[in-house]
Amino acid sequence: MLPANVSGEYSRVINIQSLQALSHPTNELEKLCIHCGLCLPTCPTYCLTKSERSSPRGRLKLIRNSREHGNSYTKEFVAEMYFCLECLACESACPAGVPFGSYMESARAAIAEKKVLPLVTRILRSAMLKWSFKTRPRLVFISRVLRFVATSSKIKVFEPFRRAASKLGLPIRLVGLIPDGRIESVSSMRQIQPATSTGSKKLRVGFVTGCVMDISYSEVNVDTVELLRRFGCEVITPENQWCCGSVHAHQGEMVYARDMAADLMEKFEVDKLDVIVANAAGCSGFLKKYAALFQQNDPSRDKAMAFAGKVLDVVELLDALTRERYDLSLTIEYQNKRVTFDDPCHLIHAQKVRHAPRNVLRSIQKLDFVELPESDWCCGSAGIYNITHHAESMQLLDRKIRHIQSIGADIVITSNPGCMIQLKHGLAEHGLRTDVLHIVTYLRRALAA
Amino acid sequence: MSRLDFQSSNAYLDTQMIRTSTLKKLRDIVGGEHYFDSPEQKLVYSYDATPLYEQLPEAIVSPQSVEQISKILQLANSEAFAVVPRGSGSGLSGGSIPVEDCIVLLTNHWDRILEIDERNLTVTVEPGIITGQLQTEMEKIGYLYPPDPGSSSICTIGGNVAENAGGIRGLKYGVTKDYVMGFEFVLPSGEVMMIGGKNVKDVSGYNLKDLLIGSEGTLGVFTKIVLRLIPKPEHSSTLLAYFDRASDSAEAVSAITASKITAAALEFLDNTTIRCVEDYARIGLPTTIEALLLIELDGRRGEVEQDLVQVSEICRRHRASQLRIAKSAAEATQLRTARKAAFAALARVKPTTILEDATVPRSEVAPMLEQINAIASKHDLMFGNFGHAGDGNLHPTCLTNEHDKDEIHRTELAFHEIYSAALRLGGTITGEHGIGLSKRKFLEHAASRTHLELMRSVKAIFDPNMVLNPGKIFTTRPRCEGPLPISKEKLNKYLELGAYC
Repeated sequence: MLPANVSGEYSRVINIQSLQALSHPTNELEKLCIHCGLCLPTCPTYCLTKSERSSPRGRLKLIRNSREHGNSYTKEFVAEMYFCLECLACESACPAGVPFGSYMESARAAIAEKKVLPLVTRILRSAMLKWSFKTRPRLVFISRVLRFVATSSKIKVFEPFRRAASKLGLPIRLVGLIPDGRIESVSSMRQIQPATSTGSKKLRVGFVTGCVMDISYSEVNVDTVELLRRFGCEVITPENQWCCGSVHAHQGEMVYARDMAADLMEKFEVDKLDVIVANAAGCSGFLKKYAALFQQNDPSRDKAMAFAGKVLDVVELLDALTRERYDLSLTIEYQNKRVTFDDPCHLIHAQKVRHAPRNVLRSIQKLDFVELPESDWCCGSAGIYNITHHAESMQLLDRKIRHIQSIGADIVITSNPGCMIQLKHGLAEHGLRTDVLHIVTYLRRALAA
Repeated sequence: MSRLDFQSSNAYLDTQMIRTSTLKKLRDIVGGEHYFDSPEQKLVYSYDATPLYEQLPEAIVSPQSVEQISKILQLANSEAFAVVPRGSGSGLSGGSIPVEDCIVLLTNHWDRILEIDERNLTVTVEPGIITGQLQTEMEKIGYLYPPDPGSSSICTIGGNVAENAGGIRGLKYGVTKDYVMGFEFVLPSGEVMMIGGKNVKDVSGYNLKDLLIGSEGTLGVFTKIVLRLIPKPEHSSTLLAYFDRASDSAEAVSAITASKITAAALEFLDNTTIRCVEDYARIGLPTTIEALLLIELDGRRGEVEQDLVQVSEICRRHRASQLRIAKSAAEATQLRTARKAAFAALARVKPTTILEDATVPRSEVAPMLEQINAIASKHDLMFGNFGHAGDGNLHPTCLTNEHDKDEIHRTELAFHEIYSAALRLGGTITGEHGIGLSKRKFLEHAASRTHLELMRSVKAIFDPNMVLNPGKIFTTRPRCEGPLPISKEKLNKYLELGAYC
């Protein structure tokens, strides 16, 4: 059973969609865009280029045209579809409620289907999405190799690779920041034993450990389990879970995404859980949309709906768990550290969760919390965007770092592994000593017992 | 010819009419990286925020200097093509929508503040700066640039001057023209000229400045604009008043005006609009009330507090069911932002949202609202009503579906009647959006023959070859010289329009 106050912000998303469904029985939802232009100032790529083509309004127009005239999958169209960060700031800004993300995903799916990308790109993308993200050992292998090449500056043999990568604009130093998976990963643990005595209200929480988080920040997963147990939850982490499929879906590989989703749902005994939680905003946002992956008549659809109905991002669960707690205080070490929160796009825009992380942080006594200007702007990480569009990604990152600098924060808190890697990279490049922590890590370390 | 016919006969008519050699010359003027003519680029500059109209341009240029704009216009004169200037494309009357045989001239990348002159209280800007950004920058240093159109987060100053944009602070502070002190612009012939400057008083000859303001991009392209600033008011307060009956809210507006209080903003929203705005912004508006007034007061602290008490009292006397005062500047901004989203939020209900801006003298707001409602029910149409009740500028918005021909036809009849009603009450067919494409034929009813002829003559003096944004405000006479249109479709369209070449 969900605590009644948990679903507050999430329910809003559902309301909007049901409202549209009522008044638009046709499938022509993109007609909802009345091209008023209010999305333009919130779009990072429009602000970078001042080009209508690279605005949400322009992209919707292009997508609509490509649907009406099937032959328009030109190079320029494809480039534009992948130039979009899919940060969904436009969805938050849109008074008409146009579901931009769905259109972008369907356009990318059509591009994947039409095989219009150059062969080399397709092979690389397939290798990345279909091979390395297929199983955990493969992703571990790839990331270790990349990390080794990137960081072992003493080994001369790799020098040509590093130089070639830099020339191609590949963020080789950024790859070096991916931490090595040294800590034993949570998903390889057996089911964690229920917590015994902490707290009175006991929730059974199923924990989706994710793929990138599991490999690059497995300590965040450990922190998540420990923190939720401290708040009196019983945490269940099914064995051998793997990627939820969001990486594939965002690149338009819907069939793969659906297979990944089916595999993951297999692992969870949904009826025995109160909440299913993920600590990467990209995952939780996608898990909530699982039902949309399956056709109306697909028997798995009901299962996906039941599953998705229980999904919460970890900050939403923490918001519920800390709501009536007035005893949260900081350890001495963290008492004089100014913190701020940088909203992951997949939390604030895709899931419309704006208040939850702030509520959690504000519930801590004497915390020096400062709002980050433009905290709802994308940092440029955006999945693999910092690799595919390195220059633009770094421009957005600079903008973000300048804001972090302006408020003098000691710790930037966020809740998505991609954002963490990106922010760490930016802060290091600017020579700043500001720390980047996932919200669960921060809470686990900073909260006095 | 109905508006829908216009659209269906025009959309995607992608035939090249400008000679390739001409396009090459254009490209040479601005440089390859600032010249675009791919199908994708044409498509995304085929519209602005106006419903129902679109037309592909033949090329898009992004000039980098005043000289380039000048050369482009000279070329347009010598090689006979049209030039349509465009800022952010947030206009609501089609001012920046391409016309046939035209190129789009972008100014949205000219977005710098050139000079802030605190001794003369002026700011000099480039035309592409976003109004909201200018306001934020000015407020940081204690000044106010008052004109505040609904699209201020994206619209450009150049576009505001071209359309003489109004907005929610019109009642107390006036509109864009009241803040434009001068500008540099390029005439349709390509000549560059400066009008006005930093003088508060200037009566040297005809007031050409005001002729250019609101000329909808038909008389010149602005390249530098000098704006007047005022000191930022010390204090401001925002009040929401909820009414169970819309007529009570209209009476309250009249009573506030009669009480000699000038509110900075006095905005009206009806039930349909309230529901849509609340669904979008989630700011806790009650969705059962029939109307609400959003009232902003500013000035000296004591004065504002006193006015607030008096306005609250007036609202209560006119049966306001509840009053809500914004507790913080953030809440006030949130309320104003939500109000500004009203137009687009109405699109949640139906696929096509046609927003108009019939305006009446302030005293006639209540009868005008009644007439709009009567006309809407007569034609069985769904309307959302909101607007600047304080200055008589209403926004009757029809929620419709452009694919339902019958409904669009009824919409058109209804708007005709609304304009007639506005004119009967001593009003005008457009308060702040301009004529552009969408109200051309209503202007023919509203303005006298002499008035129209005079405006046409002015256009002919400025732009004898009709190269700058032709066909906006009034139809230009079909060209009777030069080669016949090549495409059969185009020829038919000319004939349909009554052309006899």
